Amino acid sequence: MLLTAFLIAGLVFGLYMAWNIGANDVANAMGTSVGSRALSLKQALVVAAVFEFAGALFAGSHVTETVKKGIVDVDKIPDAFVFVLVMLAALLSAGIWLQFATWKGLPVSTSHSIVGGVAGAGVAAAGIGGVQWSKLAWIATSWVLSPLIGGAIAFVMFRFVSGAIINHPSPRARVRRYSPLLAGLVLFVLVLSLLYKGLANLDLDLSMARALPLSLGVGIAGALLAVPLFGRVRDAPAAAGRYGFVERHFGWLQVMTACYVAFAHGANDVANSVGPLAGIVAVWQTGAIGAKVGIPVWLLAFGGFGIVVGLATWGYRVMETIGKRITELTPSRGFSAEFAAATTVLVCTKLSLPISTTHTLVGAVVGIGLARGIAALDMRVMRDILSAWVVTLPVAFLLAAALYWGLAAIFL
Amino acid sequence: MRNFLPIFGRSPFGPIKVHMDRVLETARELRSFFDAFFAGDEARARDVRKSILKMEHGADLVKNEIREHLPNSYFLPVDRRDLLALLHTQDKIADLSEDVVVVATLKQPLEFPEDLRPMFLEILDRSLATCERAGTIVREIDDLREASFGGTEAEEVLSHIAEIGQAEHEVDKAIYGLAKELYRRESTVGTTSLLLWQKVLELVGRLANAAESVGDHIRLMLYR
Repeated sequence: MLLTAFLIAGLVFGLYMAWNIGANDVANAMGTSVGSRALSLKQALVVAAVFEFAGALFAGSHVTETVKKGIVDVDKIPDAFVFVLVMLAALLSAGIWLQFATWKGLPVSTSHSIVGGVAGAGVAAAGIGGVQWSKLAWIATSWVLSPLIGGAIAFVMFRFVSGAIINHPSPRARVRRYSPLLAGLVLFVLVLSLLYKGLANLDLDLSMARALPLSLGVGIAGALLAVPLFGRVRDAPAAAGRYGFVERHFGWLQVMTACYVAFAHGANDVANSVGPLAGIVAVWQTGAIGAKVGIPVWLLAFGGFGIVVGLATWGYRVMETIGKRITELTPSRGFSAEFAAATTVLVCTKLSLPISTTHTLVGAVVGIGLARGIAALDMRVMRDILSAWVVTLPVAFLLAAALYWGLAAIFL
Repeated sequence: MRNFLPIFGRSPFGPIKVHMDRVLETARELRSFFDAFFAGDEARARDVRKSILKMEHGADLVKNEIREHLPNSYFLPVDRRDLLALLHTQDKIADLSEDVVVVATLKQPLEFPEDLRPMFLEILDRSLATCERAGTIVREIDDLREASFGGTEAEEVLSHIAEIGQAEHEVDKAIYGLAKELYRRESTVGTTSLLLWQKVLELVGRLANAAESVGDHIRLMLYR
């Protein structure tokens, strides 16, 4: 009876977390597309809803598993009920901290909050040994690496785009030739990530040896299909400047990367809401924590649903604000940044690492800035992000520990 | 709000074009001023003088606005110092335009040999045309930004910059010729008038110089 009450509480807090992700984080991922006018606000909302949900549902289980069992050392937890309280405390602390951060306008990551919360509650429940510190260190390392890798990929991609197309003596001919190739590349990476250890939920769990040729084939087919489509891109008005025609092609390419980002974001960040919840559900179903039950598909769908609701009720406003104010990010830049961020996030998702999509995207944007692609980047904001990052882990940790002790005092 | 929007700073490149437009509007008034001045239309000359002073002040305001919104924490595709130097040089064109009308109205009446007037106006026009060329380059800054300050776009701009240098040289030569002619007529022109006209010519020459420097600063941005 009490367990069912906790499950309901967990569902409520999980839904709140998912709502929060949809309301705040999706806008970061998709706002660049609205800003560069590759997508209208309505189109962006539809694309985000569909691909966030798909990412959560089809590829969300890896990271969810990590949040559920990879941080807390389940062998050290005395009994299943304690585990439920740990997960509940983690959800609560992350939710409270995020609410505070949103109120104060702090650039706080959902992923950092939930990981800190799970670790804090785990230590409170089972002492210092209650947390798999090496795993936690590996996750924290990925938080440093993911923006750097995102930045590096974005730098290289944008250098390629400006070298091979924009700065070429005949950018028009070059963009006609290269945009189908880039479209094929996006498709290839996306399909590869889906097929390789991807669609476990559809029993389509292929090995690299089988996934690689298959996705290569899809990529090439996509590129060939894209040739006549890009051939139909019309001339831009003279007011769009000398590179209007080129940017129109990237506008279409950016629609693809926007889907890609939404998918990657859904796949990684759904874990922040349903990860702890999955722990509670497992106990509720089996009465034990060690049981290998996997992540139920309905739970991922539940998280995806929460994200979409957050997007529809609040996220669209944030997206509109971002879209209105990022006018500096032309489609060629948006494409490079989104491609880099989504690829990094998907690779981390494959490695079951909960990372911050927003930080990775910021890293990618800075990478383009380093390639002289952006008019002005305020590096003071980087400092704010860095300090919010440093503060989040201990705050979420301590808050979750305190909440665990409170819950334990009442229910144990 | 937890979005990452604040990472994007206010672009200084749009405002720098606005500033250049203001500066050029100011400089263009010089032609109206001397037309009225040589026609003996004192009221009109005074009006134009006033509007030049006002426009110069307007350009100053834009300049200050840009400087205020260019904090040290901004990471730009060009060196921040180059950008500020460009702004300073652009502003010099407005300052010099103001100086020209100030010097030309110091002594009244200030005579100028009638037969040399077309020559003077031609020099003024050429100097202003050099400024306009610099303006065309500044207006290219969006395309340059799109091209990350490199490639074919940059090469084209570089060739335009070289043309400005050539034009500036022509202006200097013409000024030297006119000044020599004025000194030859020292007795008829009068010493004080001669000194004032020489000063005006020098300022008109520096106008073309400033235009050339605008090009030079953009060149530095391209070579970073």
